[in-house]
Amino acid sequence: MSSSQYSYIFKYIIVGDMGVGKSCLLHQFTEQKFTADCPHTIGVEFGTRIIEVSGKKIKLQIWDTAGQERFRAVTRSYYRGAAGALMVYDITRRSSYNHLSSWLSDTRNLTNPGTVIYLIGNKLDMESNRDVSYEEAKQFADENGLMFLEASAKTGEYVEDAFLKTAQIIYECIQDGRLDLNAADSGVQQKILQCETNPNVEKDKSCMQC
Amino acid sequence: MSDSEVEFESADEGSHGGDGWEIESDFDLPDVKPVSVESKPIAPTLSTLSNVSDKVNTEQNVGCENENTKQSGKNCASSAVSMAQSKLDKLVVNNDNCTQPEPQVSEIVQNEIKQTNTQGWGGWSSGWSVNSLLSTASALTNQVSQGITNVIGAPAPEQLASVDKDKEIKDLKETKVNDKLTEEPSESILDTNYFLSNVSQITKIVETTGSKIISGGLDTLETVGKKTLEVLQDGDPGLRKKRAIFFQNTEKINLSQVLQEAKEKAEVESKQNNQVEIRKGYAYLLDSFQGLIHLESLELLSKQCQMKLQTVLLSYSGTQLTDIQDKLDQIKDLCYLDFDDDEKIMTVEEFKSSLITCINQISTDVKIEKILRVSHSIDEKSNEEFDCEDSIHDEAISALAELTAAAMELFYKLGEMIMIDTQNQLVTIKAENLSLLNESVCCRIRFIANKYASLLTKYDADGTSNNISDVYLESSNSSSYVQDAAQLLIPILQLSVI
Repeated sequence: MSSSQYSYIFKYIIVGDMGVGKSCLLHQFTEQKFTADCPHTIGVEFGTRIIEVSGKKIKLQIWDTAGQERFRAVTRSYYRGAAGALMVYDITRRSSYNHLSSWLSDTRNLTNPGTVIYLIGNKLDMESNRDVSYEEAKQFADENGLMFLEASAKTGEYVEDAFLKTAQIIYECIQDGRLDLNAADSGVQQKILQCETNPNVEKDKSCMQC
Repeated sequence: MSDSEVEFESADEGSHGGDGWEIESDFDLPDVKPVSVESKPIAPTLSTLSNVSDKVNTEQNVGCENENTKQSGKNCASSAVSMAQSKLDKLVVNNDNCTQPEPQVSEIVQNEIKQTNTQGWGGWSSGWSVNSLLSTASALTNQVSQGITNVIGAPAPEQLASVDKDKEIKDLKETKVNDKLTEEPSESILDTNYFLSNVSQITKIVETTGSKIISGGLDTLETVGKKTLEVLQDGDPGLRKKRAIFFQNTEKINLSQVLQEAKEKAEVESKQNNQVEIRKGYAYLLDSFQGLIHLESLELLSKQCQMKLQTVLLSYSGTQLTDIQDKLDQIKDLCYLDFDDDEKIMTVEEFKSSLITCINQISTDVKIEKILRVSHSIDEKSNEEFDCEDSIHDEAISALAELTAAAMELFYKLGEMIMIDTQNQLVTIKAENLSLLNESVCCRIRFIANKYASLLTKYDADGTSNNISDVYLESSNSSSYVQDAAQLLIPILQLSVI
C-alpha cells in the first residue's frame, strides 16, 4: 500500500549519446541491478521509484530516452514538463563528452528554466580507460551552471547520489517558491494529501462504481 | 487582402479540430458575426409587425362596425399577426434599438472583444496591447458606411423578413379578395388599398432599417476582423509566433491527465473505505500496468507532430495546399474506425494472427510480443477456477486494464516508429492497418468482457449484483481509451506524408 503514499511526482528525463549507459543507470537506480548487455532503447522507456526527501515521499517518474540519432526527433518530444534532466556521457569516450553542448542546448530549449540539469560522467569503474578528466568536465559543468558528478552504473557507485541530489534541489525549489507547482510544465505533480481516516468507518461503497 | 492574409486564411481550412487551434474560434469572423448581429434585425422587424397588427386591428374594427360578414377575413389576418405578436412578446426588445443601430452594434462588438479577451486571451499579457486594438476597433465602428454587401452567404435576415411579409400580404390580399365577393365592393376596395399601402410602407422601413443594421454591423465586424489580423500579424507574418504561443498555452486537458486524476480520486476514496479496495480500481490498475505513462508519451508525440504539421501547412498556399489537405483528410478518414459489427469478438488466436498481419503492414520494427503475451495470459487466467464472485470481477477488471495498457504501449511505440520510419510503406496502407489494429484490440476487449460476464452469470442467477455491469462498463471504457489513443496517431501519420 505504501506505493500510493507519496506527496509529489517528479518527472525526470535521461539524455545523452548512445551507449553511455543511460538505461543501465536507470536499472541500477530502480532495481539495484546491472545488465551488461542492455538492449538499445527504442524511443523511451520508463522507470519509477519512490524516494524520501526531508521526510516527504516523492515518486520519481523517469523517462529514459534512446540515444540513437534516428530517435532524436522522437525524444525531443519528451523533454517537455521534466523537472529534472540527467545528462549522461561516458568518461571513456570523448565523443560522447563532445556532444554534450548539443544535448545541453536541446535540454535548455525544450524544458523550462526551472528544470534542474545534472551532468553525469558514467563508467567510473573503467578508470584505466578514462578519456575525459574530472576537472575538465567539472569546468564545463560550472561554466554552464550544471550539477556534476561521476558515477558507475555497474558498481552502483554514486548512482543514488545523482538521482537523489536532483530531487533534493527540485524539492528546495518548491519550498522556496522558485518552482511554481501550478505552472503547466513544472514537471511536478502534487498529490492530494490523504487525511488519516479510520479504515473501519462505514462508507457507502456504491460510489466506488464510478 | 495581402498575401499573408490569404495564406493565413487558407491555412486555416486545413486544421480540423486539432488541439491548440482553438485560436481559430477567436478569430473567425463568421463566429463572431451571428452572435452580435443576430438578434438586432429581429427587433425592428417584430416591433414593426406589432404596428402592422395594430393597424390591422383598427382596420378590421372599423370594417366590423359596418359589416359582420367580414368576420372570416378578420380571423385569418389577425391570426397571422397574432403569431408575430406572440413572438414579439417573447422577445423583450426595446424599440429604440432601431433608431440608432450603429452605436449599438459597436458596443456589442466591443463587448465581444472584451469578453473574448478576459476569457480566452487571458494569457496574452505581453508583447502587444489589447487596448490599442480595442480603440482601433471602436474608431472603425464609427465610420461604418451603408453600402449593402452581403458579406456572408446566408440569406440575410431582412430578406427573410421581406419574404415573410410578402407572404403575409398575399394571404391578406386573398382573404380580402374573398371578402370582396360577399360584400359591397366600394368599401372593401378602399379598405384593402389603405391597408396594403400601410403594410408596404412599413415593410420598406423594416427593410431599410434591417439592411442598414446588417450591412453596418457586418462591415464593422469585417473591418474590425481585418484590423485585428493586421495588428496581430504586425512583425509576425502568418502568425507563426503567436500560434506557437497559443499552442503552448492551450492547456487542453489530456486524456492521460483525466485518467491520472480519476485514479487519484479512486485511491482517496478507496482509502477511506477499505485498504484492499485499491486493488480493484480500473484507473489504478491501468496506471500500474504503465498504461497512463505510455498514453502520456503518445500525447506528447502527437502534439509535437500536430504543431509541426501546422507550421508546414503555413508554408503552402493555393492548389498545393488544397492537395495536401485532401491527402491529410484521406489519411484521417482511413484512421477512423467503421465498426460494421459491434458484436465482433476475437479469441486469443484470431487476435494474434490479426495483429501480426497488421503490424507487418505498418512497421516491422515494432514488437508485439508483449501485447500477445498479455492477451495469452488473460486467456489462461480466465480458464482457471475461481473461488468466489468477487475474485472473478477483480480478475476481469485487471485483465481489461492490462490489455488496454499494453495497447497504449503498442500505439505509442507505433507512433515513434512511424515518426522515424524509413521504410517506404504507403501511408494509406499504414492508416488502414492501424484502423484494423484498433478494431482487433476492441474485439479482444469485448471477448474478455463477455467471457468474464458469462462466468459471473453463474454466480448471479437473479441478476442482483453490480459485477457484470461493472465489467461491461470498464470494457467500454477500455475500448474508448484504445480508440482515443489510436486517434493520437493521426497527426503522426499525416506528418509522415509531408
